[in-house]
Amino acid sequence: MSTAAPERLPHEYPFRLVERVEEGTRGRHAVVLATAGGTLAAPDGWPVTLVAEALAQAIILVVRPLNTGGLRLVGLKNVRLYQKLAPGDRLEIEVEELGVFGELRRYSCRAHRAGALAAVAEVTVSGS
Amino acid sequence: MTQVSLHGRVKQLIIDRLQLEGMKPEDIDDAAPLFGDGLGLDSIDALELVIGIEKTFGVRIQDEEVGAKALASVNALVEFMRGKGVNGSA
Repeated sequence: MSTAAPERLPHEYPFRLVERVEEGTRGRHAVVLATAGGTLAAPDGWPVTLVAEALAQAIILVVRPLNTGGLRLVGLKNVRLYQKLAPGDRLEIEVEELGVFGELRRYSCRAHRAGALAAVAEVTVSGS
Repeated sequence: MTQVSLHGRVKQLIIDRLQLEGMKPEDIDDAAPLFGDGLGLDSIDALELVIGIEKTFGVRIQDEEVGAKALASVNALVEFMRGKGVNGSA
């Protein structure tokens, strides 16, 4: 089963960086990075800033599967990029909630590609 | 003795989690507000402390109302953790 991202993300092109979320393996979610427009294609892969934003958008899709409210990215911590990532890449991500305080929530996200760790980030979002 | 030790650990946690470079535990006033005019922390700092307190002391701050009281000052945080059974050697 795949779920199209556009209906569930507030972002519009070119800021929408996740094309869809699919069921993954071993409890992970599979995320396909956006290809729309093509202007975000980068021969050397996306910079870590775009990857971090993509992980944040993926987290929104994973933790709010029923579109029960919006979440806004308010912080990033411990962001690491271990592989070159580009539009169309399929990542398998693990999302763990680290803590909640009021409307703030922090998640740890580990993204794997082709069986190896591709990127990690701690993402803080705000939203009720 | 226990009181001093727990205060010191709480202050060190604040410094470490919030990466307050150059600050020492003795620079933090036990009674000063952590937010606003005191140490000047914000809501994202509060989340960082909530995560750190649970990880280090095993104490969960379950909601914002409890957190507002517990994170009012170092003294308030120590008192809150004592109420949860944490002592200086925890």
